[in-house]
Amino acid sequence: MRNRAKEIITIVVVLTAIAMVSGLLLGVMNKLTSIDEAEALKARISEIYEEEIDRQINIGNYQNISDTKILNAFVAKDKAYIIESKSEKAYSSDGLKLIVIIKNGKVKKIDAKGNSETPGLGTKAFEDTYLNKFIGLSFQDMTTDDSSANENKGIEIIWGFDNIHAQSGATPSTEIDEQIEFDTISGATKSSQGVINAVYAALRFYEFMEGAND
Amino acid sequence: MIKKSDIVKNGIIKNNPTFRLVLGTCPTLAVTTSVMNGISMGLATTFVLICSNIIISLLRNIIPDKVRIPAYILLIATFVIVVEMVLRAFLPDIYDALGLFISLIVVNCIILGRAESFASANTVLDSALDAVGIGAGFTFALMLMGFVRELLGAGSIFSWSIPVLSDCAMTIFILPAGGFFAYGFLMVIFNQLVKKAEERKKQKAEKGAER
Repeated sequence: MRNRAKEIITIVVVLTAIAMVSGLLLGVMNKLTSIDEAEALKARISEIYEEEIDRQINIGNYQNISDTKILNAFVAKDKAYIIESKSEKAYSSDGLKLIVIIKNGKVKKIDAKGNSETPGLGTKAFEDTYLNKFIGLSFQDMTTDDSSANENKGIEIIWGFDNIHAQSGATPSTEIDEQIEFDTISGATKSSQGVINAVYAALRFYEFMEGAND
Repeated sequence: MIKKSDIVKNGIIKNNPTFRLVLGTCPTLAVTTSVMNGISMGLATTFVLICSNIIISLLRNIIPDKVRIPAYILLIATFVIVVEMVLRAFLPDIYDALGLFISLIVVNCIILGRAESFASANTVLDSALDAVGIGAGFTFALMLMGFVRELLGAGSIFSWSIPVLSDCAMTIFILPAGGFFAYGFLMVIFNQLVKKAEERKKQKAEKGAER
């Protein structure tokens, strides 16, 4: 009986000691490797956009459309919006994140760094040749059924997005119409659709904010 | 008594965890879509393997036999989380690329297998050398898989596009099915080479004995 008790105590002591040392090690490592995500994002923005950040936008109760989310938004000193948007349409469990810079209502720059999709397939959606197709697009361009407006960009848009025009008084829809077709990349359909949705989400947020400012 | 150099050599060739023991198949197939992913995964696993082997060998006379598996898992999980934290802080691109598979190192049977079959019965130095050998063998196998799959599937190496190859890349090699193809072919080639080398060694030994 005494031997049994001794054995149980040994097991408990050894396992507790291992757990405590592990916990201590992890605590120290956490302290050493913790990163300020907000600062890291600002540093990344400063790498891709030369203008300084003026202020951060409080996203507050902004209603995202399905499968997309606005993670962070800033206004630069030149009044450009720097929006970090995320789309769930991706093979990565973390979704697909983009930094979209919008100036005067038009996409000025897109940064897709840090996304992990299948090399040679999903990654095609992050190549400049594809991302550059969105440069110069406005919210209206993405929500018009007049495809001739975008023909020269090699982009075909079939109308299907919601209408969130603040001035129109329409109730914002949170569903993306399934009819959307936007020149997705063969072999990278899901990832390129994710890029489209993330860019659209950023433009929609811009439109929403500018409408509110008006 | 086995020579120290043989412990390392065995891990890379004779007991190569991927091509000879067919262990750690899940990360081998899942992350080797590129050379960089293969190397990163191999090195992360090697780090965990070395640390866990050393600590388990040190504690081999202290850990009660009945609870050795939970104790090993606890130790392995600690080192995996350390790797995860370091990658997340300093190598975020690799952390994003490997994703969930970093955490899954905890249940990688190579690590638990070496802890159970080697580290728990050998000295600290031998256990560390065994971890270096097995880790190097695993990294080499993953790198080779990544090389073949990225070259044939995406027509690139280290994400550098190779002009002619990239135009006629066989996408299947970076898809799961292609992973199995590449794994099977490389396993055949590796085992044939090892078999021939062993036969040659045996013949040499026999000739030496005859003389």
